[in-house]
Amino acid sequence: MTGPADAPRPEGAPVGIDGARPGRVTIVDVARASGVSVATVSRALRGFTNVAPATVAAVRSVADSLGYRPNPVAAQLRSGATLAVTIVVPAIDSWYYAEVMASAQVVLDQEGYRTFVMVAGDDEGLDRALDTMGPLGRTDGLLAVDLPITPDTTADLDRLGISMVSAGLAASGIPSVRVDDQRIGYEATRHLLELGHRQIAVVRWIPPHPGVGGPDLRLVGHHQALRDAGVPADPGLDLVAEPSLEGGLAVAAELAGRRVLPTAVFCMSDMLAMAVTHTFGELGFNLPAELSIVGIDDRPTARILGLTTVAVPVQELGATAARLLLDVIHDPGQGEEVVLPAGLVVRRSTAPPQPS
Amino acid sequence: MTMEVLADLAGVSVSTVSRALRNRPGVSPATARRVQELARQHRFQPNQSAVRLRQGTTQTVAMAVPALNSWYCSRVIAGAQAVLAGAGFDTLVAPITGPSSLGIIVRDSSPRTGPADGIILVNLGLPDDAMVELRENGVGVVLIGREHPYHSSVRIDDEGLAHLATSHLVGLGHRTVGLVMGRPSRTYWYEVTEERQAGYRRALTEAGLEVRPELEAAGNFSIQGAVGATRLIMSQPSPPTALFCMSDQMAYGAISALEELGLRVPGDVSVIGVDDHATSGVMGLTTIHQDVPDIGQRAAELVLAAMAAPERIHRDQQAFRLVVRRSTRRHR
Repeated sequence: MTGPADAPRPEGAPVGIDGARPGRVTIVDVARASGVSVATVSRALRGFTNVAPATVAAVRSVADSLGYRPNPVAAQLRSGATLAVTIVVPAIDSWYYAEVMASAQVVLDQEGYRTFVMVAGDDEGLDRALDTMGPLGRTDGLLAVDLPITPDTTADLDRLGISMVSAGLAASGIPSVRVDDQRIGYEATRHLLELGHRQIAVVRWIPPHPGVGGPDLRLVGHHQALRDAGVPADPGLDLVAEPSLEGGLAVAAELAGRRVLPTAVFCMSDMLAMAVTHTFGELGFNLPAELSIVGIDDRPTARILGLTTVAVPVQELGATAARLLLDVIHDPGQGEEVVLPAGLVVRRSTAPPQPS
Repeated sequence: MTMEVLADLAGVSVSTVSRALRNRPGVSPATARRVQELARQHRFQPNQSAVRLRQGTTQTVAMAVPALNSWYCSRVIAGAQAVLAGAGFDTLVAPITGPSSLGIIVRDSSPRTGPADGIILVNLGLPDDAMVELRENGVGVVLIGREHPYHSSVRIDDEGLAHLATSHLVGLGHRTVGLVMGRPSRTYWYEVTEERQAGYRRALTEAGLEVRPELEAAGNFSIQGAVGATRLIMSQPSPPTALFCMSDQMAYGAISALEELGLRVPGDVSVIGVDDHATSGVMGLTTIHQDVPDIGQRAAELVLAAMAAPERIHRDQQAFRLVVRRSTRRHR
């Protein structure tokens, strides 16, 4: 530390790698004075080719006139891999988020972007992420996974010059990539209907933001498939679980204790399907003859267990989100909306219902 | 009112306050009541992030991890994050792809210039000068998986747990045991592979069995890697009747490769993993249990302690145990 360590920071004054203390001209000041984003200043001053020559000249001139001098240590550290993207997820200990993040990271890595991950944890998490990342000028892009994005957030992003992409949920005004959740629900239930099932239980969870998450759209698809087949939906077979193995085990135990059982269960994740499979298997049920089980995801354990499931292209989701983000960083104003297909994988856990 | 002040008033540590307010174990009922009473008296709101944001002093702990899609890392992060969020800290996760990305963690981590007030290194090391620099900058540092003279750590006896796993297989009468390994270590970036390999070899040697390097293959801690490693091991002359995999995820990969080869588990080949992954119970996998979320939780508590009193170094050793399920059985 070379600066006055105890100096208070005036409100709104930027701090960060390029401007370690108040009073010093920072990359944010240069961005503000040039009317371009922090990311553009950063790229312009480092001689990147994806900035218009006129912009480079303008930024250089502003930087000179303000006396902006990039921190040499930072510049040195940056010279290898350079730019950074932050991925914000609602939770970290989930197979789904882990695969999405890791696949995005591979693409970002190849393009020389460093990846950081913030766990939002609650509704304010995304805004906190912005606050932490933005003023530091070290995030060029934000990848929000399964997080609703408010107009306020979008406005903050514009102000900070940070590009953003939404993965998992559609979002107005910014590029997004998601899977066709309604289709997933439809395919799973149609498969069971085609096998002859009429009493089909659903095990789902309530997403933190009702109406915008996957489970709700999957339920719409499920009901659509029932309607198309002329089968009435039975509210008694709509089961809500915590989205975890323990949650699945609890709901499966409740279901197994019923006097009248459905002939099939559609679980809205492989994890829940594994819990149902385990519970009924331990109780000595003859699977799949006495109970067909379908999951969603196609995680590796689904293959080992022989679970019929709707495969969610998690890796493609992460990679596509990263590519959309790189596109919008390089060319702001794009607004592509990608919907990925999901496919049914039939294995050993589904069969026609036993004649009763 | 911050958690630090509350801790001061109660005469306990910040992590104790955090636990007491969340009714977590590890705090005596009397202490918990006292902390909760003080919190009520002072109208303490546990989540101070919003307040800190307004003051412009968001507090963040960075967690450097070798991979984002490793079950172990995810659980460690989740365990740590629960404690850190309770103490009003945000968690920033940085996947480390090489020495330069480790450098950025150090650079971004002095209290007044960067977001990280503390750092948890998960199976990663830093050059010594960086460790000294972090300490001088007042950044709390905790290592998971390795000890360090200047910083607190949480680790597990990797040699011992591998010895336990291999001895279980040998005890069931298996005379040929294959090893599906993780990744080899690199500079600043080490894996548990070498220590677990040593434990595996010691168990074989102690039982008077031959160590056959051609039955050891790297699965890189990924399911797909373990599929390849298992195929390689099983293609050797006189292939093993049991496999020790250095993670449960790799054990799943091994099981699916064995099934593709037409071999049944445990009928033809016994398989044991390490971790006790969330799904291992329902998968029937025999494994070495380690309390992974608790490792993260403990690391978070130590990093909070290190920020308050860097001179006090704690070296935590985690317990492990054998959990026998359906994937291993006596060799005929």
